[in-house]
Amino acid sequence: MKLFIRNLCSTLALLCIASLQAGGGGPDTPSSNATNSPSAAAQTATAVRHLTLPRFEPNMPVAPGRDEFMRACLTCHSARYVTMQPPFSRRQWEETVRKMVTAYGAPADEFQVGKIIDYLYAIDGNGSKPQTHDSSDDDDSGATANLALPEATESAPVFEVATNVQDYDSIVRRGAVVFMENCAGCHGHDGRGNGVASQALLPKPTDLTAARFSDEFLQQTLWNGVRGAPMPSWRKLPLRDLGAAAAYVQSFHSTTNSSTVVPESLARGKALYEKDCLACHGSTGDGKGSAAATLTPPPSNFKTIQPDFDYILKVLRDGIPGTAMPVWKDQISESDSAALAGYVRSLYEVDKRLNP
Amino acid sequence: MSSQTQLLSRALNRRTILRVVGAAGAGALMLPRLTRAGPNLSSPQEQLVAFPEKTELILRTDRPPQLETPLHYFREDFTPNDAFYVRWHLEGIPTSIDPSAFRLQIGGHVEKPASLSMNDLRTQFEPFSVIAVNQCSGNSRSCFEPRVPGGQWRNGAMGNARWTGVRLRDLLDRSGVKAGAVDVSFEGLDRAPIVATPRFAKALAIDHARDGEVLVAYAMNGAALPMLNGYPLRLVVPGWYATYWVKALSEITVLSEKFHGFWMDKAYRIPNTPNANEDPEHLAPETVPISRMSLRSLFVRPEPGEQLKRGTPFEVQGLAFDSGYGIQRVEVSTNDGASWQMAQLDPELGKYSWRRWRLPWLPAASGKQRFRVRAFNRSGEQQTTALWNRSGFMRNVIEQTEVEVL
Repeated sequence: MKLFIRNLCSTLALLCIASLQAGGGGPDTPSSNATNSPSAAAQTATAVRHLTLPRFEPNMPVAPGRDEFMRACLTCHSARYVTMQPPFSRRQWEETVRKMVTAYGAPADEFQVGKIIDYLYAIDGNGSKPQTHDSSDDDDSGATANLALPEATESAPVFEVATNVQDYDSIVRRGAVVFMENCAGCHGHDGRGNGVASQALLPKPTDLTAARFSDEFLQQTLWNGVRGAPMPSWRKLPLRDLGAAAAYVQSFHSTTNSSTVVPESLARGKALYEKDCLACHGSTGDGKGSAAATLTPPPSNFKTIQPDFDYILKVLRDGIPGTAMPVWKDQISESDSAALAGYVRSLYEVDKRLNP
Repeated sequence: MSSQTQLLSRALNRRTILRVVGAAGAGALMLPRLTRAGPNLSSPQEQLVAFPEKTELILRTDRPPQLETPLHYFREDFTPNDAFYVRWHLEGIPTSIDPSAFRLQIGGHVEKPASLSMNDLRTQFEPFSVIAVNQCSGNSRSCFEPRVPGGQWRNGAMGNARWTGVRLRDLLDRSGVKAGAVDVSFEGLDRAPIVATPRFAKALAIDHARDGEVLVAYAMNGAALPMLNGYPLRLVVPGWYATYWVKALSEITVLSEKFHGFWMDKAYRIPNTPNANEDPEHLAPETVPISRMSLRSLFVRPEPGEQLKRGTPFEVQGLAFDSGYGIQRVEVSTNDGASWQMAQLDPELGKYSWRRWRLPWLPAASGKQRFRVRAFNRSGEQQTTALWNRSGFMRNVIEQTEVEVL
């Protein structure tokens, strides 16, 4: 399978080739000497050039359909594509949205398409115009703040995530194809969250190799997307493909990196968790703490995600930019971080079911 | 006419907005944020932002980036690299290029496919330069009435530069085009996040590709291209709209049959009518790929909102260009088209370059006046008084500007 992935990767190989040839740049063009700084020009002839893109994502007004808009559209482009437009009729917005789906493959089903058209017309068309959220007044609301209430549609249909079935290998192979076509652009071909689009996204696409994801988590996430993050919902894909993709995602994670935690350390971790984490992540780790309702993306549910030990340490050190998860490294010692990580990992429920 | 007035007031509003942004101070904001003059999403909202390797440009969108060159840069014949407009289609634009590892692939219907390094391009082929206007197909789209969806550019989705690189003909000759070649297709390093989005690919007919003027450029105004303008290589198709000027060019493929792809067959198409004009109520039944640039002329000074002093001589100034026939004359009216005067033309920099025109003018009376400008080229083309098409392409309506004398 790795080979197969590598083949698919080959289109990006140009960027990845690490054949650092000595003196490969050669002499600069004669015309480059015309620049103010010839030495700088000569240097740039061989130096690797990087581009870090700034973001100017606008806050979008709250109105019905905002969730659908953000999930289906913002993976590929900024909401500025909308805010720069003059007022259009509902028919014009419908044409535009349908073009996005049919020509560019925007992930939205018919229900979502209708909601998105309603939203775009309501905020920018000739219909009623609600007050635009003026982002200059509230700095900490987050560029992707999402105040809409959960909708009745937020329940996943049951699709199977293959585990011990006979045709597991063929399902995972199908999942790899679905993943490459729909997910790799953001999550990367190897699932590490470093796809071509990842650089412009905030929060960054999840590194799928750094945690165990339960069936329930993958079902919910693929069906509903992630509020306040660029992860769209994938309802338009066949349920079989969603199940296959979920099985493939689970295959990224090796189960060898679990670590044993001594009871004393677990107790210490629990105490730390209850002091600092509970308000958002909830007393049972289900992500439903008292402060969670206002946060987008929502706090992680550790009953359905089991991040690797090292990944938790990294998050404690760096926080998760683009989410409410802060940097903890100045508040917590290394040994306490380890204890906390061990406790967080113990909250995962599938483990409990398997090892009661 | 009303749209021109809107444009003017928009520009004035922009100044106000920018002043407010400046006063708020960058330190107060963690992230640069959209500022709005009022509750209306479609109200003028122009923000100047500096992307890497670029100076402050007008932000249209950030992701993928569309940045417009402010008008005052067009007072220079060569648009500075850091002020040159930016327009990408796909979210995954190249963000890291190792020029020693980069290879340009040439393949398809050729005798010897090639994989060329930057060093190969610089040392094994004769360098060739051309001065040429690069203009977005949708430049000035915001001036269309009725308005059309798309990047809402004013006149700054264009620039003029000296492009240096290798003739595409030389590259193709080296690889040996086989008999029966029809098209040549071009792809860059940009990618969409989802595979369902068609890769950005454009094509030229084989004769056009081998005409000795199409260039694979590694330098722009004597320096490497900015990343956002297509580093390390960009296709240069003089006289044609910029959609063909593929950025971060990495693959050239010779085809033995007509190229088919979304960006040729479905996007960047114009009505198959004179001057690409159509009626909003009755769209033209047939469309064709956009190609050569229309003749147009623009005002650079006075800028919208610029106030002139009565009795103080002023040089009205602007640019004119076409697809390579050459500008024959430019006429300016200082009385809303009642009469026209011949403008002075600067020396021609090249047939694909724009050409500056000037008209010394003494503001005799205070008040507002409407100026117009129109160009004529050597093939007898003229500008139009009305143009509309569904995509907002090829704007070349005779420009008007309101001039205020105090």
